[in-house]
Amino acid sequence: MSSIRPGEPPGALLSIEALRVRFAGSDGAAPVDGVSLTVAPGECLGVVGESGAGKSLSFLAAFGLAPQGAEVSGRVRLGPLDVLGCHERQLDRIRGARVGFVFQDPMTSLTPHRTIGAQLAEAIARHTGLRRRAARERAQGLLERVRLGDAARRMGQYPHELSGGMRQRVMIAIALACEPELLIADEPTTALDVTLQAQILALLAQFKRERRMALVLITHDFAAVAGVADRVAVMRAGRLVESGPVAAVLKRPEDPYTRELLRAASEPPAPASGPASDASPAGAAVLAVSDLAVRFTHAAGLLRRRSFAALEAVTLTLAAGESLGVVGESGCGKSTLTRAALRLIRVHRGRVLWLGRDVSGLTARRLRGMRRDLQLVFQDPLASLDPHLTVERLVGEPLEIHHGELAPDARRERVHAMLARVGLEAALYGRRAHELSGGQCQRVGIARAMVLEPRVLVCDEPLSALDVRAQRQIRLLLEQLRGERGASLLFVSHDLSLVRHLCERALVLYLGRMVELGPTAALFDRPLHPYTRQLIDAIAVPDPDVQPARLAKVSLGEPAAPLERPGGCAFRNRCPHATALCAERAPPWVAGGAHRWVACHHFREWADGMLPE
Amino acid sequence: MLGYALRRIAGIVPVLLILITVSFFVIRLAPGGPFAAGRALSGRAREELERVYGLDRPLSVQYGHYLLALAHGDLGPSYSMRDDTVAGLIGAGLPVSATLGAAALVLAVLSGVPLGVRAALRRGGALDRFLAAFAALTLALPSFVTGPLLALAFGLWLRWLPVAGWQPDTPRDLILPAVTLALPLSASIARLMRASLLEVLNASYIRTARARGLGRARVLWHHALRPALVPVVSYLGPAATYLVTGSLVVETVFQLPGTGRYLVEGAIDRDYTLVMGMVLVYGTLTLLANLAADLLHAWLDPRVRHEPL
Repeated sequence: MSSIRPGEPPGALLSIEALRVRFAGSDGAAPVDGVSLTVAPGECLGVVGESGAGKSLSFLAAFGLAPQGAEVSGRVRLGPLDVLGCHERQLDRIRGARVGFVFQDPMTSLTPHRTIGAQLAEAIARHTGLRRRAARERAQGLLERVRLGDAARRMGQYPHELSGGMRQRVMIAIALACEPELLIADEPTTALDVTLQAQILALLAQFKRERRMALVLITHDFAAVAGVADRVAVMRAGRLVESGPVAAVLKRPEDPYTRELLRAASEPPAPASGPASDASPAGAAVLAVSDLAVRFTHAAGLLRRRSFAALEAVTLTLAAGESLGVVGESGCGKSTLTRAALRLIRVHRGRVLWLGRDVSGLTARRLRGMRRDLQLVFQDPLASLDPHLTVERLVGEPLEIHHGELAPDARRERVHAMLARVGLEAALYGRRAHELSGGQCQRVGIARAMVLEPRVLVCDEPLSALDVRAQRQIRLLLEQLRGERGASLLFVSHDLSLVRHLCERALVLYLGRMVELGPTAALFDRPLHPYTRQLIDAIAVPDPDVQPARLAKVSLGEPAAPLERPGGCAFRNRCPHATALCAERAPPWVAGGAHRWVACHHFREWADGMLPE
Repeated sequence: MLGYALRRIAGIVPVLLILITVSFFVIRLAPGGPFAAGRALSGRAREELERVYGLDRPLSVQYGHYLLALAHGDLGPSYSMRDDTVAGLIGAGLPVSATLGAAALVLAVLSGVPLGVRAALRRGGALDRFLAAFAALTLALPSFVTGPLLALAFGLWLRWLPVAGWQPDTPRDLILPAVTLALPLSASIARLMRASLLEVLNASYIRTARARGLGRARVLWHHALRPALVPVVSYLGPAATYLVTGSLVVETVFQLPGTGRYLVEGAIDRDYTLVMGMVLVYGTLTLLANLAADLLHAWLDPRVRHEPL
């Protein structure tokens, strides 16, 4: 047996020994191959590794939740109980009662046709024997404890009526419903924005502390581990490569693989430098919007419609060769802005200029030829590729449409050159999207966009669906391509450290409005808007000495919802510096220094530290 | 939910109006007329008949008169069976056809859904393999083959059920025709149910439900079954169309006095009013079946009923 066995502390709550998982009929390596771990009461074990390392599968298999066809062997003990020897019925008494689970992707992890209240109450009723009403009362109490606002109303709502962050709170409430001794959180913050990530982790840390609950945090994010975990186990290809106290592993990693992962996670935040670095957009504008507004309507009862402003009064210029970052929380209008600027959705008001030409009134047919110069890379690399087409066809298709004059041979040559440029081997050209990894899919997505040599490349959260190593590789690729081809970059992300790295200027959006715009370095050094400050504070750092304290300061309440925007300054209910003036009228968009713009009544006072914190 | 239902019901009326209009003109575009084809009528007699029924008037006038009569619930006289009105003919036959169709639908759902669930839960088991063979067989055999085969087995050899024919108030007479009509439908529903339940059981919310320790039965009944029924419910619309066309064959095979035959006879005889009456009745039934399917879908999936229409 090759795994490292940490000395088993006395009184371990969960102990896993030599766990192996194989799938019947597959002759490849076992996805979990001899893993041994322990977790003590009140302790948090962080389990880190790339996707496919067997992190989740180990803990699912330990409690009988592995997919069908899995052959599980080894020993799993929960206290004195032999878990692998349990029947399904016995397992049902453990799961949800003594062990709670929080899964990745809250969007698909709740039953769509049952209300939040019903799903919470049924677990409570099942394990405690409480009656329906008592179970529902307790359920509502739980929703309040995970800081889900308006808990009474949420009880009667369906999962699709809640945002991703709210659903993750519901998942945590369900997992905690019966006061479990052990909570297994499988990528609980992946796919959430910075603010939510920090809030969910802070919530988990709080419950662990208050109830002496053991916590297993499965993640690819070292910063999450640094904030919450006491010990860390690093997994690769079904085996444990390193484990130990969090400070030791993160500061003095012994295994080369751990070192590589850590390096990918904590790239030095070198300020981006490009042709238009720090200066105002001097080059010709390749993409510009002015006074842009987008409204969405939705049904509110029989025949009635309600509309809300997803984007309001946005004015922006992207210069040739420049890279501009757009940041903000989920629902702030980042993606809406890119779609409206590319004329992919209906614009309510405002003008859109492509390469200096007003395209506001043009029809889709007239726009088609011009789209060659403005290309888009999507967030979900797998879902944005046609599953029927091979890699070669996917990248060749834009050329067929926009360069019909190319002979098939010439076209193939260009496709192959582009694919080689993004680092895809020739063996992959005949594959389809589902046969590729997430990182490979995103390379195809980038190749598809870049093969047309566009003047503008728009990237909508291109890294958030990838794991650490793939994120780093794609980020480096984007940097190189930009340097080589001189395309302007409009980069949308909730990850501020990424924007700091890639972009010369950054725009901060809050609930569909611009709150701050300026050179990235200056914006980070001295943010002018309190919201920018909060976003910067929420950036997680993979340092166990710093991160727990940062997490402890996070406010646990929910962020603002786009449908319930307060009057005056929209940010005032989260702002520590808000005054009566902020409630009275919306702040104007004013110059705040060299090339800097901000929408805040009090930026001069607070940004210089004149207002008390 | 009520708002959604009302919006959907309101949508039926214009569709019916379009259906009536198109059928009204299309049937008159076909060559010949109710009193033209191969009938020993003198020129005078034909002109007289056409005058009596108003067929000598311009088409737009005929159309207006038809709509006006329809608004008063009058489907008009039958041109080929001159002692009867269209309403009378349909009124006599429809109870038989409707009972047959409804019985077949109920049979198909009550057999197909449990069969599909069972096959999915015991994937690769004996019942699952039986279902594959059963589906292939019943879907491949047309009902004018299965019908006589069933009549032969249960009517002539076992003598449990009547071979054909129909007397009022004898439900036994409807068993064989209903089973014949239901068999392929039952197989389709079972296969749909099996495939969709297998997919749902792999969903992450099922894993979440299991991780809450809810137990197999509760996970199946409260979490998996409702979403798994969605494709089956969507199939009810096409199934209704199948029942309408299928009843034509089955009613002929078992000599039932239903309305199915009027569809063919009316069209051949250019009996305009009878065809229009049948189009109206079956069109309404099909639209109602689709509406019922959509309402069921909305009940199964809250995301559907919250969509703006």
